[in-house]
Amino acid sequence: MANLPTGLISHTRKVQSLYKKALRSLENWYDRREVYRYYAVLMRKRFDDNACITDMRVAKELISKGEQELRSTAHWHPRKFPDSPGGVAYGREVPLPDWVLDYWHPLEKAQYPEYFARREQRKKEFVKLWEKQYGPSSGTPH
Amino acid sequence: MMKFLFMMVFLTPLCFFSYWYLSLFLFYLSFLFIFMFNISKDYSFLSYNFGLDLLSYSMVMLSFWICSLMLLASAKIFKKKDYYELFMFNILFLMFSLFMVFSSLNFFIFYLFFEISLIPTFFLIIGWGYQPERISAGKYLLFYTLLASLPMMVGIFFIFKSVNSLDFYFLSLNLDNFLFYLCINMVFFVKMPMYLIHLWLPKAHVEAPISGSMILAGVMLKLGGYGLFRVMKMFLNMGLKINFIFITISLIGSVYMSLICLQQSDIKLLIAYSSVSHMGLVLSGLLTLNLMGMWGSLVLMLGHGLCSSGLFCLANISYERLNSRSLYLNKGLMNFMPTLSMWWFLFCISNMAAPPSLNLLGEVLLINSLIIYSKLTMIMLALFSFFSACYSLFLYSYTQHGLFSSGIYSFTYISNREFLLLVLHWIPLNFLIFKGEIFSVWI
Amino acid sequence: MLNKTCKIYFSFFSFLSFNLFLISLFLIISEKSLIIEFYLLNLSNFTVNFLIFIDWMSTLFMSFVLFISSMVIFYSSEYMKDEMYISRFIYLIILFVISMMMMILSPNLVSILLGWDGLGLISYILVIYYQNFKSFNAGLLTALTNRIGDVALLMSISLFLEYGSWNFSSFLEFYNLKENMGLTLIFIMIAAFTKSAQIPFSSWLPAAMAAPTPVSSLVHSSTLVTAGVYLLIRFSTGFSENTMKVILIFSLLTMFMSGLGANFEFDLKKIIALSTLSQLGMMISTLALGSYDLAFFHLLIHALFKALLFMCAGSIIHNFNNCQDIRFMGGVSKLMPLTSVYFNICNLSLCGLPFLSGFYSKDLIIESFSMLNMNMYVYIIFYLSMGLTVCYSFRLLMYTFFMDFNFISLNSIGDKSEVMLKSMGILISLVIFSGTILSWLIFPIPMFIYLPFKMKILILWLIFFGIWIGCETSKFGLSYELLSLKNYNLSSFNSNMWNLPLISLSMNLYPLSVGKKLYTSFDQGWLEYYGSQKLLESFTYSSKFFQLLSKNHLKIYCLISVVWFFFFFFVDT
Repeated sequence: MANLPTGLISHTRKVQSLYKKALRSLENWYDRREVYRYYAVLMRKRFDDNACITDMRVAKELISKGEQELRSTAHWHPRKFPDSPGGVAYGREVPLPDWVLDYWHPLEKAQYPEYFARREQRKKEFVKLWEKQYGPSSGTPH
Repeated sequence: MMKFLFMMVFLTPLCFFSYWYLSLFLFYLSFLFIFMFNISKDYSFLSYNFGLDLLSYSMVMLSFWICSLMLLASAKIFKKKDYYELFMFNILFLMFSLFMVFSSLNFFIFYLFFEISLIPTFFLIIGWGYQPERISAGKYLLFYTLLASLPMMVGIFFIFKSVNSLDFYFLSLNLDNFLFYLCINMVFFVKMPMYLIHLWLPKAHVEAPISGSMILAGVMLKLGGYGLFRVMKMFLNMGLKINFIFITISLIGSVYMSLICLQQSDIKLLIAYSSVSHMGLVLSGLLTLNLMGMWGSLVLMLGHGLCSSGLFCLANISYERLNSRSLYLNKGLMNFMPTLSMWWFLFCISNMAAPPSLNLLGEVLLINSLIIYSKLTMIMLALFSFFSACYSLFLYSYTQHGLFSSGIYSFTYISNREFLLLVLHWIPLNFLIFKGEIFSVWI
Repeated sequence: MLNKTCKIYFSFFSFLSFNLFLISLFLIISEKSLIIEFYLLNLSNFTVNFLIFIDWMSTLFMSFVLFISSMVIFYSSEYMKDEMYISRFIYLIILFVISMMMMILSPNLVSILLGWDGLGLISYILVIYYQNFKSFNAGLLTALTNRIGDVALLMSISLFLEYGSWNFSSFLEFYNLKENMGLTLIFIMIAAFTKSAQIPFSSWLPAAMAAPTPVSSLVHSSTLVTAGVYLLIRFSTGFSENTMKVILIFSLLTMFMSGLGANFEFDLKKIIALSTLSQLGMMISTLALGSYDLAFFHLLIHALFKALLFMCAGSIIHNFNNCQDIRFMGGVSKLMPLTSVYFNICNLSLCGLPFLSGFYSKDLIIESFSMLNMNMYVYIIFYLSMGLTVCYSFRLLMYTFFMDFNFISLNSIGDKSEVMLKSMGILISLVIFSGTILSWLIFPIPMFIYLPFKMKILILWLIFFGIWIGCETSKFGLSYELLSLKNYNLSSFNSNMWNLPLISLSMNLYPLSVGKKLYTSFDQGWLEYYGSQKLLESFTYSSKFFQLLSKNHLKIYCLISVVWFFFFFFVDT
């Protein structure tokens, strides 16, 4: 859903995101930090040179050119941290909701007696807390 | 033979007493029948107009088994008190009529109970189905079959006029007449169902309750195959000339159906289309009229009956928990029900003919028979085999793998009854292969 | 408790593997082989046997598979410690080993199919063990590509039916005489190519690296992928010369492509996977050139060092918090010295450094290959791929072990996991010594190699050249120009495995769109229209028409009845 346009994006933000993406792309290519810094400075220079352009037609042209350049030099294997979206380990494990434990079989629950006793205790405490805060619940449980 | 008939008749009062007793007795009946096993090339257990050869034996065994499992599968009807007495009576009646169909030696009795077995199925669909569309689905089921079966009745009268007997044993009329061929066989093609006249099947499957789907996929489709086995000896000459048309239609159809399977977002619809696709293979193998084709068709019929019925059970188990059959909601189930996930896998791979299942034996034999028939069928067979793997794995991985739908707020654990249901499907499916050659004895 | 399961299977498998090794020694010495046949199905002259063929080859292979799997099970008791479903994982690996056994033991087409199908399915389940989308896609790609092989095997089964038996091993030379054999063997070739990921089907192997690393180590480097090679070895006497040429070309291309692709790859596991691919290509091309025992020799040795390579990679990945991009790594040799030593030994063995195990097989293959009378194209590609192997190995070494540390500062990298190190340590002894041992066992008589000095030394030159290039590619400086960016099209083409993944992934568009058309225009269109809805409509229409007639026009109604009577009078005979 992140790709859907949800509102108007100002020119400044377009430039900013282009700059950020360009830096990320440089990071993919130049994997030594000092080298990357050097090219990042060069990239900054390219952006700074055009910072004072006030003619929107020219600026727009420049942005579209920049985006095209970004696309044509996209790395085939972008550098991603494993747990961030697109990384190798993203979403490897599905965190189960807490209520799953309530549906365990009694025999399974009996294997961890202390934990479940504590859990029941916590539930009661939570209900008490909730009722203290919002008043006693009226609806029928379902 | 009579003992089974009488047992079923006298079980009727039990319908109004206890659900589980009836279930127990049906299993008892199936086991009694299984212990009666007798390998013989010819008919045995002859009494009055009934008798069993190995073909009828295995079909009766399948229908008894599936009927007993139907009761086990639809315990929800009992729990909700949803007219379960009538439901049980319906199943018993269905079982009775299927027994009569498969064990009768007379073509007309066969025809009569072939039609009668539609009625309880129809009631199952319109009585215990879920959506309002079940009425139209029931009509589809009834009228597709009826439209094609009335010509068969005329054909039967014609046979009686010419042969003066309607015993299957004496059906030696060898008439090279296309119209006669169509009259007799069309109803079986509809029942199988062949591609182009299969429309009733997905509709009926989707709208039927779990028991209806099980019996439809498990036994009703096999009625067509059984009938073809019986009547094909009248069409040996004619079959050589025109069977290739139906082989082609059903082979191409089975590839098309498996492509359509990949489009489905409804689990039950997917399974229904996959059974059309498998039945297409059975039909084409059967129509080659060679030994391996006959053998393979019977084996695949049995295997598919157990396997798709098991898949419907699995779909129903998810349905009872999530109240949806949509693939978009039934996902990531492995996180909730890891044990069930294994059963999904086992049944899905049986559906794509992985070892060791009856489906594998059946498909290998059918592929052999069809390639002997013509090398050109190889293209369609390869595509069919590949795409059957595609949709089976698609079904498995889509329902089991990944993130679960965020709309789930509760689920209930899989009960022992449901595991038993699946095990009882799976054991015959995967253990009969070790003695697969008995299914060739009757030919 | 789970540790206990791992330990039980570890000890059981290693025990079994040792025994099988002894049996294979016995079989080599006594030059015997044992065939046991079970009748599965029998109908007149149509018999399906379950064949168990015990010769030195199958027992040796089995002992290696069992050994590696026992190590991997031991290893995963630490690597997968935090997993919720580790017991499922272990059982799946055991099932995998069982189906591998079935595949190895029976050179009967039908009973091979049993193991073959099982391999594909279980490797599928292992690939989708993790719950993310990458593994979902990779799993389906793997399973469906392997399914193509299964289908090919099914088709060849039915084609074999003409010859009356599926016990191909005993009749293969005879089959070769038949002219119809071509198609059958092409199907066998396709089946082997899908399992061993040769060129039209090679996209699944790097994708399957989404599996947990122990799986990659056991399944996707040493056992499953060699099943195809093993099938080809068993069939090698049956192939005609032309088929062999086709196999040679495809496998050479695979070897070259994957060697080249590994130089452009940044994913640690994918680099190793591509190197596996290139070694598989080498095995198959050796086989296609006619020396199947050399191919088998390389298969065994490769299984050892590649499994260990993956295990080391897994250990590194584990320490880097699942990070497997080599741009994040560097300087690992200082942090994880023992693992780096293991890794380097394996890598050098892969390159064929003298007296490590890989040397014995690779050197033999190359030199006996040079003895052949081959054309220039084959010769150059083969040698270039050898150089490329060295090149990507050294690039990987430089990137991972010798350059500056590149990971986040908050880390705890070190040789801490005892169990993993132990299991790797047992394997490393075999990686070092198995080359000599096996070469004495398999080739009791030394091979005769007679080459001019230049040809003899050529491979050494290529290796040094490869080392140089590999070190150069990993270097970087401010004044350097990034050539891979400058020649963007070429480098992305090479890194994407010559667009093979794109081809095999875009294939799924056609069946899906055809299926959609079929569904909307046949099942919900024409068939509905001409089958049921139109029929209902026309019946309704005509019955309404007759109703109209009988209601209002008595004369017409009577006329129709009279016509009907006449019809009966004249028609009935």
